[in-house]
Amino acid sequence: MNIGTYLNAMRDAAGLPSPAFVFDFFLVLTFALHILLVNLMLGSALLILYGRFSANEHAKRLSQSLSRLLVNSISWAIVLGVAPLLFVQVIYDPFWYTANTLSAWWALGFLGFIILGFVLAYVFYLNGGYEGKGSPLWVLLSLAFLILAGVIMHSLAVTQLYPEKWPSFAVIKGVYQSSGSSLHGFELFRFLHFIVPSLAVVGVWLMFYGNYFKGTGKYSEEYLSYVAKLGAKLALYASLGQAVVGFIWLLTLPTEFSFFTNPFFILAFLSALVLLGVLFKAQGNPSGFAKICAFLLGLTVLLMGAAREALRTNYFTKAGYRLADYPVNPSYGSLILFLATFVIGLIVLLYTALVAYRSGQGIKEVGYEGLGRLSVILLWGWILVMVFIGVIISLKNGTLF
Amino acid sequence: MYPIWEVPYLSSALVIGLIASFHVLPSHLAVGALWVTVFIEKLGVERNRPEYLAFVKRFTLLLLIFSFIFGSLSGIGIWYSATVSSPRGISALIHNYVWGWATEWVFFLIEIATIYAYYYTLGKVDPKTHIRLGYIYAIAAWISMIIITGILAFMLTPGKWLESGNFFDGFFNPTYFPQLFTRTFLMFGIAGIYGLLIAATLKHEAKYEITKIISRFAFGGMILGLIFGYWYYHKLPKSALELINGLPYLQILSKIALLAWGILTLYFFLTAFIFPQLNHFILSFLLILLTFLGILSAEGIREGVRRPYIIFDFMYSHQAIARDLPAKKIKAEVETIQREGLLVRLGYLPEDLRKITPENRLEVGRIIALHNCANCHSFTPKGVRPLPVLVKKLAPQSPEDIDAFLSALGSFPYMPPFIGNDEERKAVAEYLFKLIQ
Repeated sequence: MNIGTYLNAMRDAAGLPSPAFVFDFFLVLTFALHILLVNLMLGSALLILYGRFSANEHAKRLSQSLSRLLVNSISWAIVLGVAPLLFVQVIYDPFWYTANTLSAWWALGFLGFIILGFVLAYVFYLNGGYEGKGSPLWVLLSLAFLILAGVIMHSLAVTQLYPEKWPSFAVIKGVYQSSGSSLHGFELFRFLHFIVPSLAVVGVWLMFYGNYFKGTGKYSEEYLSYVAKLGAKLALYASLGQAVVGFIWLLTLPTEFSFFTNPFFILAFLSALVLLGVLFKAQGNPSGFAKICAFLLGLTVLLMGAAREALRTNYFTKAGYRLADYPVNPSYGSLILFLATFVIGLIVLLYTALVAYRSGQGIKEVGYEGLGRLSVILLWGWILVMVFIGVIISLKNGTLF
Repeated sequence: MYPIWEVPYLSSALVIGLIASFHVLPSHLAVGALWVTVFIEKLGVERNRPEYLAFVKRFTLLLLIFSFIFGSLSGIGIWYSATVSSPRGISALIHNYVWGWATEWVFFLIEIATIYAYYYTLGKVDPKTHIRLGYIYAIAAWISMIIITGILAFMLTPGKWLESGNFFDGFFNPTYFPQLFTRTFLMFGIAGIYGLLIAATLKHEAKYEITKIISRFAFGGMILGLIFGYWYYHKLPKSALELINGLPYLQILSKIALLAWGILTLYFFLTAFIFPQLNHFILSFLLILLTFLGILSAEGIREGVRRPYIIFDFMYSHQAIARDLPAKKIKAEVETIQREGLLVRLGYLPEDLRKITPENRLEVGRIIALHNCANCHSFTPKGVRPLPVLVKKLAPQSPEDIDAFLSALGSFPYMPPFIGNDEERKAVAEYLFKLIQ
């Protein structure tokens, strides 16, 4: 049995409940959101440290706001990570499960390190981080654990790219390694490609920050202008750094992929070029460019995600695994359930975001009554529909009583 | 088959069990918490009692830390531990319920958004909007329970799904509604004991008023939870009931769970109606530990009665498929593996270990033993259902005695049949015989 036969044999016997491209689409989309938040989390931790060790008063003041952003963004990074984690297991199950079981303790340790990183960020926040107090050591440790978690996830992803090496990981000198205590891969420039954008993402966030609080009277104009300019500078230099890292990574890829001709790569590259151009222009008046930079950054991250997915397809095809061949046993009902819920979710999230947005600007009577009422009605409606379906099916199957 | 993970002393299934039992605390707290808290906030606004709002603030912070750090990550922890312990099991669940989980994820997003908004905007937005945020959180959190219960109950009673393979047939299975209602009401007890812990730290006069409100909710929840729990018990499959009544350790777990329920309910009754001053930080903290013990026992029973399956009647604990499911073109695997062998399916091994030779015989025996046993048995002499001790108890005189035992494994009600062909079984028998020497 060659490794390709094994991979195809290990696909789940139930097949996919929807065509593979549907999962692939949501995988790329949700991963882009996840990695944006991961970058925001790492970037805010770095800037807190910078602020606490800097002599600049504005930088110090900024670290206070960022202490709250840090805990919030860790929460969001985790919850946004759930979706890609789910979808990757659906379409790439043979790769995902093998890599994880081979490094089982590390897979569990990944979560342990996130818990540590999260708790330490909270320790900083609750010990007065928001008031400019608290030891920055907590942030440093938090950052270290979060990066360690990133190293593990990266290693598990790299292990998946080389299935032909699995037997040599599983058995050493004729003895099967059942302990799951080793990691099996690390590629520096691939890893950096996920980490370097952190300062770019937090930079664009700061450009927004400058814009958001303008005119609210909460902060001085001078401070807001400092923050926005710092943001624009960080975004520009980190994006340039990312371009260099990406270029070196491209050089290390197997030549047979000719990856520089891949359409997703070209699109991502072009989008990054436009972003860099706009960031150059934004240096003079960062607040005014916040929205366009955020849009371009989001687009670039999404396209980079799509390009990395295309790269993964190259590796997997080489190993003899073709996603399009995954058998499908369609479950339309459950797909409709998800899509309908997704739309409802967006409405409820919009309402929550609008309330939070206005409240953050010091507005007490936030309004949006109609949208608020609609959100509650939609949630109850969801429950009623599910109970209705549940009762009908249970009666039909004779399982209710 | 995927590579198999061996956990000394514990067994890999117990790693899932421990994480899953822990998860029940913060997750049920997350679901139950704001129903009571929003009610208290409403009263605080109506009665113009700012100290009620101080309780709300403190309680929500606890919720943020406990449920949204430890709760969310232990939830993912169940998934990860299942990934490394029973990859084919979690894969089977995910390939059937991916859109169910994705739906639940949408509600996770709403939960996170609203709980942060609720915490940060207290006193900063008009009360009506603030209460609505809490209310949206409470409904969204409950919906996440409505969804995950379908998948949990499916594992024990897949019902009509075993014929149709249909998402909703498996989701709304025979124990779905009883389990949903049991969890829904008992969550008020879990949220209640946390609420009492926070209330005990309050310094002002509202302390006992809040204690009474929380305890009344919790007491009602515990009583209704027991009633629906009784319904749930009667909906369990016959084989599960036989296991509960037949295995001593499951009976002990039942008694612990009932005792924890009784003590907690009594505490709520006393603090709700007779003596709210009884609510003390240390006492409430000890009762949280008792709650954990009760949950550990109850979840232990739920997992225990599913033996020897991961998904009842469909997939065995050693991850081989137990039956045909023509609707999804799935074929039973046990007999095929007994005929063709397990080694040919272990493509993660190097070629030279996929054929039995005199040199690798013991190592291959160990690998196949791990695939058959490591999910539930530790391979160390001390630990959970330790294989060396259990095999020793059979007092085998030769590997052939063990081989005969392995051949008959499937006839024990809580053991899956051996997977592997005759030669592989013999290699396992030799390995086990060596293990006890």
